[in-house]
Amino acid sequence: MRILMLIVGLSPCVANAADIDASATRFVSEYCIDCHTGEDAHGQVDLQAMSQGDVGKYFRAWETVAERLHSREMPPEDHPQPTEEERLKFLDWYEHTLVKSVKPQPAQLRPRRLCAVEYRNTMRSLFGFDLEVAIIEAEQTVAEKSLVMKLLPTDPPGKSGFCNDTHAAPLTTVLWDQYSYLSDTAIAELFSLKRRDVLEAIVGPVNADGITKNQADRLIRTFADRAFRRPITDAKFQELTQFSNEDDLESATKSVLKRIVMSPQFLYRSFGVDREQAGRQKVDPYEFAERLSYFIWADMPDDELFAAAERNQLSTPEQIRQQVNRMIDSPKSITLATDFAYQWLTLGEVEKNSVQVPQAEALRSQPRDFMHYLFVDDRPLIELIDSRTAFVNPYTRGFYGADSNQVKRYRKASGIEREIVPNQKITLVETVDRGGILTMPGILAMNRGPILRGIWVLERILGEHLPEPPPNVGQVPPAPQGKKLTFRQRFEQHRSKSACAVCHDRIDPLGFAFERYTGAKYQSQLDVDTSGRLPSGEKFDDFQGLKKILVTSQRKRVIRNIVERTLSYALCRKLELFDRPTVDALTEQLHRSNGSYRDLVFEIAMSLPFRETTIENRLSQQQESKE
Amino acid sequence: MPRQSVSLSRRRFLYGAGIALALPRLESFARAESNGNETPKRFLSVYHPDGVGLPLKSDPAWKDWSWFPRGGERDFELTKVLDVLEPLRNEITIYSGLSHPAARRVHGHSNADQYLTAAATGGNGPYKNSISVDQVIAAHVGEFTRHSSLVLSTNGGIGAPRGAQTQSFNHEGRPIPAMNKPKQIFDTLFVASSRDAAAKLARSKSALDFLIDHTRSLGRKLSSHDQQTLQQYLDSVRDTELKLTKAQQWIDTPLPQIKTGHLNLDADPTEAKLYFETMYELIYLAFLSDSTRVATFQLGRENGEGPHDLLSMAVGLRGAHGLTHAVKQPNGWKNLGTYNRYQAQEFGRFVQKLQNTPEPNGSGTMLDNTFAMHGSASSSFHLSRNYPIISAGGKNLGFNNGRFLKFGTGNEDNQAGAGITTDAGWRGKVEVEELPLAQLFVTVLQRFGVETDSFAGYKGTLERV
Repeated sequence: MRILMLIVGLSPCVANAADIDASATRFVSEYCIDCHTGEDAHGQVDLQAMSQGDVGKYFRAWETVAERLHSREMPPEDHPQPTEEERLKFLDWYEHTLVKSVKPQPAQLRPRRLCAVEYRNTMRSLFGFDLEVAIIEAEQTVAEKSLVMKLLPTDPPGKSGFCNDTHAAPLTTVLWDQYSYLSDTAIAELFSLKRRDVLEAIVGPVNADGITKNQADRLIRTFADRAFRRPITDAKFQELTQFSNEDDLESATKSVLKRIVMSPQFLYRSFGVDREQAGRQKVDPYEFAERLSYFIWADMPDDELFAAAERNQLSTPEQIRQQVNRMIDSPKSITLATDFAYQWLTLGEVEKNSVQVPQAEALRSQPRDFMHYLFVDDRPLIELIDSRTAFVNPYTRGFYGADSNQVKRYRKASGIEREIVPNQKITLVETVDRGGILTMPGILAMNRGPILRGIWVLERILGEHLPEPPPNVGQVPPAPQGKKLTFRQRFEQHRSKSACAVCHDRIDPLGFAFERYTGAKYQSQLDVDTSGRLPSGEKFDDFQGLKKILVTSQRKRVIRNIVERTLSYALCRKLELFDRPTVDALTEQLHRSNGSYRDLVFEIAMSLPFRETTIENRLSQQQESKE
Repeated sequence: MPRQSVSLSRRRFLYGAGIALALPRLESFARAESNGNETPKRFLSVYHPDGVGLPLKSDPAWKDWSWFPRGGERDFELTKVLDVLEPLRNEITIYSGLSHPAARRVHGHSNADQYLTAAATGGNGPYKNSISVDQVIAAHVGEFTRHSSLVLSTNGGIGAPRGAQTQSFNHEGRPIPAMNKPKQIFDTLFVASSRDAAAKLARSKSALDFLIDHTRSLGRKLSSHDQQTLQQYLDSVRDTELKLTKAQQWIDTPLPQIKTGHLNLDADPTEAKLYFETMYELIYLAFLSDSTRVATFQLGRENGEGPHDLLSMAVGLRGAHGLTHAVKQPNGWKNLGTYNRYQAQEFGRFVQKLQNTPEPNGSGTMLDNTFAMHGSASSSFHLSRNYPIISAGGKNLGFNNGRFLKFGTGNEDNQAGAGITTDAGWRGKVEVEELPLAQLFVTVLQRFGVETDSFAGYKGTLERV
């Protein structure tokens, strides 16, 4: 039982959770308890004790049980299997009775390493210049210019699905070496003649002998305050500046700067938070400012946000609304498209399907510009699916029929083979087959075939989690001799097994609705079956019908997914059970008020998990273990 | 770099190799030589995920596309998958019937982590790994070279527990991050960081000392969970400290000069063929210049995660991992076999190159003093048994090649688990007897002069090897 106790210890207790009901108990005793009982329970998960005890106490453990059932890992293959109905019924109890009884709570404060994008932006803001690769390139090419992005290993997405969730990606020596190299490069550049203006902006005019002691102190002080994203104490300043045994003031200063940018307080978030007071509390203004700026900009707070934190002006709704608006108006909010939406909607896949630079860039820039527009122009959430605005350039205009006349004529200058052309915002008047993310050419082209499209819509737009396909899926059989069957017909025979149908009933109608889009092109005359019936029973004839359902009866589901993804990105973590009430409330509110993307950002900034935290320190842990 | 200090024979080989190479000062060689180790002994392990194709005998594809050879120890016959190695027949050994016992019933996708460690890393739950065999060798020979080992993979970094993107684990079982960018690897091996390298080194050292001293105070109030995060930070600080100490020892030894004309250092895994070749070339150059004697290289990641799943584009096939799932589709076995054949071909090219290069500082060819292995921790679809392993070279270390060595009993024709495409296969009972791969490692370690009779708790060597 030790493991279980540990799990419980880690999870905040959930009070008043619903009791286990009779059918769930029956399920457990029939399929699980043979192995999971008593002293030598498998995996040290004693389901008998869990069923009898306080359900809330074992919440995390029940969550694991549900996950295992969901992914079909349990019961193991060579043991009696529940029917699909029994399995779903148990999951239903978990989802609708147990989960619903949860009280909202802020998560534990956890230090988190900056991901590569955040590190790049933070270094840029801290030093006042970008670290760029020394390459001369033609304007027509797309190349990664940031030295940081070139050198740092790609962050794997964390449990939340976002790269800013670095909780499980530890710092390694490779990263350390790169940080060290980048710090050296940046510090050397700061002291170079090229960046004299940047240095002088901080310390005042520098004469030929180099910086003075006073200037060095000022530099270190402002540098440290900003690098740690909160003012440092005098003691910390002393600590940072001692032990520098180099005679030369400039080298000594460089050494101190290096200590700062290699410190855990710089490389991680939340190490600087005061942990004196344990327990649930509001985050301090500096932590709040940091949360806001890494959410909207993937960057450290700017001077204005910093000043607001210092004066404690980040508490009223008006103050927060004002900051949110100011920050979204800043060009830095482009990361909401290039980082957040890019990962959420798997826009990286778009890049893989076109070889030519200008075409590839055109397909890639469309969803980017569209997503940024939704935030900046404060559009309603549901316009993700249904919008009359599109971003089009000469390489994509062919998809937009008569509406493409709005695109300015483009002529390649002579001597240029290919060139990247910025998008132009147009209003869709006649092109009914476009508008919204689902029919954007790049999105259609990256998801080849009805099944991938269906899965993408289900997961990315409707927020469902599909389990791995069961074993023995085999392949779609060819049509029997003498019979002419479409792929859809053959596929439907293939997936009629109940094990497949569970998911494919959800995937297929969505995917086959797109059958008139071959690749990125729309072919209105194509003779294919695009009709479908959703598990909810709703029927539609073609994609337009499906779209209508998505923005009416399924609208709340779409909004819920937008809320979940955005909140998860903002919190840099997977959403937990105790976040459910927040998601529910935000969804309800934004659904009812036809809320916009700015409303969403504001509501998240005001929400309990964003503004509060639970601090655990060594003392509180010791007390807990005594109890 | 005083050219005249390079002995004639060495200079001749350098010209022969087609590159200009200025050797490190003789002292560094002398240091190695003074340890009674005139000729370097080198180790390479290449890992490929997702196993190989093993159709059933009844399948028409069996004849051509079953990975393992047919026939006896000496008179074995290679199928189309490995026929590219035919010219190297006398330089290679192919093994069957070897696997790590602790992982035999674990899904193949979780097993890259334990291929060189033999640890019970399991399929879920708490995770603990142990030292990999290459690092045992590195600890033994690493002091003679600037880099004690060269750890490479296509994906780079460490990956995740049971989703390793590195083959090497240190003595505490912590993964050693792999390098994946040719430019970075080249710079690490052959380019001095800058003119003021010493000053930077000193600054790094001072930052390290400071951070080690002052990060502890930060930890005082942290909860135990947060302390672990801080510990990860400190672990990498400490690992860096060790590296810096080593770098300081070598700072006065000039780096070998390599011309880069023939190298494409911007190669990316999406240009699969070029990338493969560049990575192998870098390993070759690292060995040739005696920058290191131990290297590991992992191709892709299990379960085909990340863009590096596109390595199979080298032979015009997309999605290396998908090939293992599609074996029962038309041309399925052939496609998987073609990709495996390509992997063998690149390995063979590397082996050939070592064989064509006389040992710079000893007798025979470089291949004679290098033990290079190539393999995976699964054979048939997700099945963590009967690892498909090839080794090459090592004649001067006592390896006797030109053989197909079958170990274990009950699976003489490699049909156990053949033809499976479902997960019931890898979960199935272990019905044939296989020997622990760790015993091959013990043999290897002994031939490298490491005094041991066990590895990861497995005792004994492999007979006949």
